[in-house]
Amino acid sequence: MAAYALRRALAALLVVLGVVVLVFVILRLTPGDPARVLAGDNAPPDVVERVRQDLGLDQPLPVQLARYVGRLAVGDLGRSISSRRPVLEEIAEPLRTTYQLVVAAMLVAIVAGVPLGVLAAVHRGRALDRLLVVAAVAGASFPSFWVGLLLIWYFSYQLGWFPISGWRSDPWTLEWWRYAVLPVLTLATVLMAPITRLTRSSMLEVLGQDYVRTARAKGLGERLVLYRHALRNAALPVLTLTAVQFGFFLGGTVVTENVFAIPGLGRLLVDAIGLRDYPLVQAGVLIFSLTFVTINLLADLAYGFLDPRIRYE
Amino acid sequence: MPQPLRSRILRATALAVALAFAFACAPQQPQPDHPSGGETGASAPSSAGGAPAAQGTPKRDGTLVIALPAETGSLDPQATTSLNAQRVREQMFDSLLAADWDLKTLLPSLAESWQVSPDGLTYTFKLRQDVKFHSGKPLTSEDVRYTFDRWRNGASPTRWLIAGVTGIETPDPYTVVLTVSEPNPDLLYNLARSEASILNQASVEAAGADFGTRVIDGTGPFKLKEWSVKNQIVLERFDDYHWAPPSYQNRGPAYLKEIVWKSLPEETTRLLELETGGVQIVPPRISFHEIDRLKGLRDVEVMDYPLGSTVIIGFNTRLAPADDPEVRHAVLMGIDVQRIIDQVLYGHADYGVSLVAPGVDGFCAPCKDVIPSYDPARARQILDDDGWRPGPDGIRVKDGQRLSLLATPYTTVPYPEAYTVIQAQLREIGVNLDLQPAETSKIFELYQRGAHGIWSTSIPHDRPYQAVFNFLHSSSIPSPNRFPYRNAEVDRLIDEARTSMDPAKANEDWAKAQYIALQSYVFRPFFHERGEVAVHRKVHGFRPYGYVNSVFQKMTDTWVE
Repeated sequence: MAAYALRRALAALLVVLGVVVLVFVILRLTPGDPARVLAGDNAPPDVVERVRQDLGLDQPLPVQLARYVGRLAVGDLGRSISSRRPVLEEIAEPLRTTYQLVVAAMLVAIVAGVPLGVLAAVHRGRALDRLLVVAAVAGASFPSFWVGLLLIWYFSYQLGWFPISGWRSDPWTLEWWRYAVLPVLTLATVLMAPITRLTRSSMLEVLGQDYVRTARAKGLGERLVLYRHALRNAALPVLTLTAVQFGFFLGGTVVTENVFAIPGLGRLLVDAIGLRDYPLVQAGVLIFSLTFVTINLLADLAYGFLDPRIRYE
Repeated sequence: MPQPLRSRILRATALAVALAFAFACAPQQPQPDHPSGGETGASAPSSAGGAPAAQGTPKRDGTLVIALPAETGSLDPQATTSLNAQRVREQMFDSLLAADWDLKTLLPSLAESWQVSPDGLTYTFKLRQDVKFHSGKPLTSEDVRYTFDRWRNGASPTRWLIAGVTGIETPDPYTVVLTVSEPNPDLLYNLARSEASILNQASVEAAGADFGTRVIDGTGPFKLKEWSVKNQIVLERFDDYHWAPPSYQNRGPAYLKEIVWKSLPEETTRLLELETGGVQIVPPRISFHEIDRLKGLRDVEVMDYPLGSTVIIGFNTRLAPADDPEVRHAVLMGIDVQRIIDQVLYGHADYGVSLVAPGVDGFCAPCKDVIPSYDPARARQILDDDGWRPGPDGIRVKDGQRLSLLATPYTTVPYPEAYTVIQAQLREIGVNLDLQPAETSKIFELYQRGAHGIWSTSIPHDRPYQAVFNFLHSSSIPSPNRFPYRNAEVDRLIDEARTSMDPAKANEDWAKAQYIALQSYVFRPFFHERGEVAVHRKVHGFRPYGYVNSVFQKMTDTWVE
């Protein structure tokens, strides 16, 4: 188990390194010039050239890459081109914010989505099932932009229950929730739909298994059968989905962050891409890929706990 | 159940790369900050943003919240061309001079007086002796010398504003003498801009790379209290301030205790905050349909303010058939500009009559006579005479060549729909428009390769050279003179106007240069933008201000209920 985890971790590190190099190259092949963006449209060519030199962007690509990897090895991510702040400092707070947002939304989506999926599976083919399936499809189809604005309009603008926009940096307090509840709901709506659908189909598969019939035959209560015997086995694909979604949503929150003016990582990076702020984009992608492979690794390892038949070698 | 290691790695890689791509290809946010594009400006010395200054007694110690549509980047005055940065740092710094509300009269600021030698080569500034920085250090001529040396010798993207300065001397602690290589009537205006803010040598040197982000030390009416990135910038009153330029009623410490610049990238959210009073000022650009809605609200006032800005339609004359002046003439004549203003811009702009906007020095009144006005019948006639005959699909043909022009407008300027309407209008005269809108980085790449078609850009300007020299002088080829336009007589007129110390003669030359260039049909002024800012009625004493698009002058007169 430990050897397996170590091997996987090393492989994951290689993946991250590959992504970093790839992004480094892609960014520089993308049209657009940070020096031009910084200097402005009307700046004379010699000024643009001077700014480019100042940023070290006049060097050949391999030299730039070598310098970047060299600095990365000692933990130096460089300074943002547009703000001149150290990248690490620039990215730390937005990263924390986005993690909080996604974790909260994930929890809401799981707590609400899994029971709804079970409910749909149990009532398979009946009116309640159809209603839930339609709701899930609708939830997945609503753009979060629209859901967010709708929630703001009703709960903040009409009823005045929540602030219209903004974010608090004291997580999990009551005041924090006042700011967080609408964006979390917005994200959870999108996240919940696939969780509900997958739980339903996964449960349907499991409910037809022999051991479920056996459990019922030996007189266990329906609740125990559903949640101890069936759901535990049906949970594996849901777990995988959630893990993949988590990684994906770290970057997918940008629309929600924009609507609610949340100082998160998605916004930081989309802005950075617009400004061709190479160091910032690279650091962001580095963090995404690190999170992504870590979550995948953890999900794999978690299989062993959920299903003791799975052994790692 | 665990998949083989390799396929798992592949999956993880594929997903991570897909993610990276998703980011690399993410749609561009409109960049209200973009130098060539973005900003709504205005022309026409319109209602001059009526300052409701005399409404009751100013209430002290309020907090004003202003929406910030995009990030500022560094607040080092010499570091960026960002408009949002300019608006915020205007509160924290002062320059030697200031421009009055008419955008033309120069006023004392940190310099209480100044003198220009008769040959226009020496400028002498006398500094106020009672000014100190937020850190407490008194301002001396050494700080001015340091600031200008750092500006002209560093990698500042705006250092061309001080180009031509060959020497800076400080004969005593309150005198600064600048020498220039040739007369430059714009230098004083440049020194009134916020890029020319005076810095504290000691704190800039001590802060190193942190200057402009963690350390800001100016002489302005507000100092930096807190900066939480992408969230808000909080400024706090500088209690010792008492040297505001004479254009303000309150030249002492500001009434406001704090100004909060709240980051709100989404327009709908910005305006909902304004309506409920969470934010009290929303700067441009505000969507035109939203402006009309805001005007109907009880608690919100939409103020417009004078500002020089012209959006143009230009050709790339290297690209056939736009190399043919007759074709360009007919195309410009086939565009119903007024109709686009009415229907696409909801009337929130003024018909383009000159490259230099009305109200700005160098405005060319006679130019409207040489700008083709909409006349489809004559446009068809011109094309007929030029040998372009209607083809089977209605598009004209000459020597087997279809009359089709590439158009590569910037996606958000002048508004995406405008070019769709132009396309339909040109079809009426038998011209096909191959419409390929380009986003920020793409457009620069096209410009660089000279591969752009018909293009549009917004030209904000407060001095004539920013429009006429930058876009029509041959030394501005390839950029921003992307037509490219080259004319010896125009070059001569511009060169003379740029160094003339006689304003009346210079304005005449500026106008003449535009008049000549317009006759070659390489471009036309499309419309003049208006500055429109939405303000909550709780706010008093706020007056929007057009100098280099800043909107926010120093807010010493402003207070909130």
